[in-house]
Amino acid sequence: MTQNIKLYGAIISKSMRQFATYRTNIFAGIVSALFMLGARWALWVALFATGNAGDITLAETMTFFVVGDFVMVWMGTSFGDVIGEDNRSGDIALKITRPCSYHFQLLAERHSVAVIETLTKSVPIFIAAAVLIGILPPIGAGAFGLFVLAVLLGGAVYFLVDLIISYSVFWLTDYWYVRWYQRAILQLFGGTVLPLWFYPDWLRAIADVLPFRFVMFAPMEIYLGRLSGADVYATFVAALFWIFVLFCAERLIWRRVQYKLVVQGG
Amino acid sequence: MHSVRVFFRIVKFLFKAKIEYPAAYLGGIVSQWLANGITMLLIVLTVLNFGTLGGWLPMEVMFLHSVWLFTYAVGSSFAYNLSRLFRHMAVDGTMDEALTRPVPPFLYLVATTFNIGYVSHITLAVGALVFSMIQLGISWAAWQWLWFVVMIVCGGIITACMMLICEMPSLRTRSRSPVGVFFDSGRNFAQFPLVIYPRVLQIIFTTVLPFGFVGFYPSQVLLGKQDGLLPQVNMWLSPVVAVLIVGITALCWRILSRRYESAGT
Repeated sequence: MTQNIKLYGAIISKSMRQFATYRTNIFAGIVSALFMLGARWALWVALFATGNAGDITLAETMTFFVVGDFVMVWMGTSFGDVIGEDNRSGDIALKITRPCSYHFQLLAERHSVAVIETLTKSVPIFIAAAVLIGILPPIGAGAFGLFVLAVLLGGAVYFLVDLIISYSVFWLTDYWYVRWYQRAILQLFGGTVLPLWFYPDWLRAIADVLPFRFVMFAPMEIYLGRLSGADVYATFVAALFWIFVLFCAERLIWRRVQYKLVVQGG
Repeated sequence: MHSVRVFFRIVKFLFKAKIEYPAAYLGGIVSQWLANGITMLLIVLTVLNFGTLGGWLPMEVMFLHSVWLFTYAVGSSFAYNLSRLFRHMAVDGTMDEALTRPVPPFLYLVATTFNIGYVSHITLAVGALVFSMIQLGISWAAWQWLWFVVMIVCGGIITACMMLICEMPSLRTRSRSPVGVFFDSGRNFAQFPLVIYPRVLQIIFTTVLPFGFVGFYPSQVLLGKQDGLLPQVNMWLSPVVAVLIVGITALCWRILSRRYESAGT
């Protein structure tokens, strides 16, 4: 365990050093983040100017996206690209024989990118939004604690869903498009682009029975105080149920993958 | 004429190579349909919820978004792969290869990097355009259909040229272009009516980064709207902007390719 934590820290610090040498990437990340915030702000101001937002406020919506961005950079990419490339190049043979699990390596690599994206994307967006727009704080320390817990559960849901979808690369001749399926499903049922508050009833009902809302929407509802009391615990129970189901499915498919996997020599 | 024949011949071979793996090709097409279709659906749902966006009705926003997607697909078919290749050209010898072929180097590069995958974006955009036009009850005269074609061609040219101009510096830097972000981020603004942005941004997207001419301004001719900066003039300017930007792209290419230094690979 201690060795894994050390390894996790080493992977992250190494990738940060590597990234810091490419200053253009840092510049591009910050400029792109600020552009995105500007576009999003203008869009929602224009929409709220119609006066048809119901009980949702502009501040809540902007907070949803700005704080939600911190959550999404830790999840937003797809394992499909990494696993697909490992499978194509044969590197997977080396990685699964290393003295730490392949899944741990995947997670550490993703988090190393997430640390950088947090610094170059989420933090500049948050500072700009807090200064120029005004971001709502969590409704209380307790709610913030529950929000962090919801984010961890959402992270587990995303990790498992992503793995299950990404394993399809072992059966495909090409893999670049796997991430598009995953992105599409998450956007439609996760409420990451348009909060589920604004969905028509029939689509909201479908999204509510699927696990994707736990990734960002449910934690943000807790942060904003739109979900409280027994509803929060019901959300946690539902998230844990989905984690159990997805974990069983993931283990089952991973076992099949290990039989399916053929690495050519060379 | 010979160069054009060579261009189509190379593209034909690229297409043949791609459909050698029909399941993979179809998998890619369907994934893009889903991803872009869901983005479009969510945009329309958003505007439906609020009624209008900057005075544009949901179906007008859908029309604009479809034009934006269509022109992006047309432009990217020619420029996407090439723009991503600039940073590797000197190192992997692609540029040396292009310079030693008996066709103009730029044409050779555009042909060999042509991306046939954007057929998914185009089919989706056409479907959404037809749907929004039916919903809006649009019936056009012949000149308006002609303007529609001009709008798509000019929008495609502007998109391709902006992409190339923003990424071309990487031919020299041999890493990510320092101004590439202005294309990637800037183009996203154009999927909505420019009128929702502050005036300073409207000026930027009408002059320095002319993404307003990709869809917003020319669409107004067809939708009977007059929004944004000097709409009576700007709505007709797409062809002029397209010609100007082709000139700027040619100039950038000329300067950078003349200063090109091979890595010797």
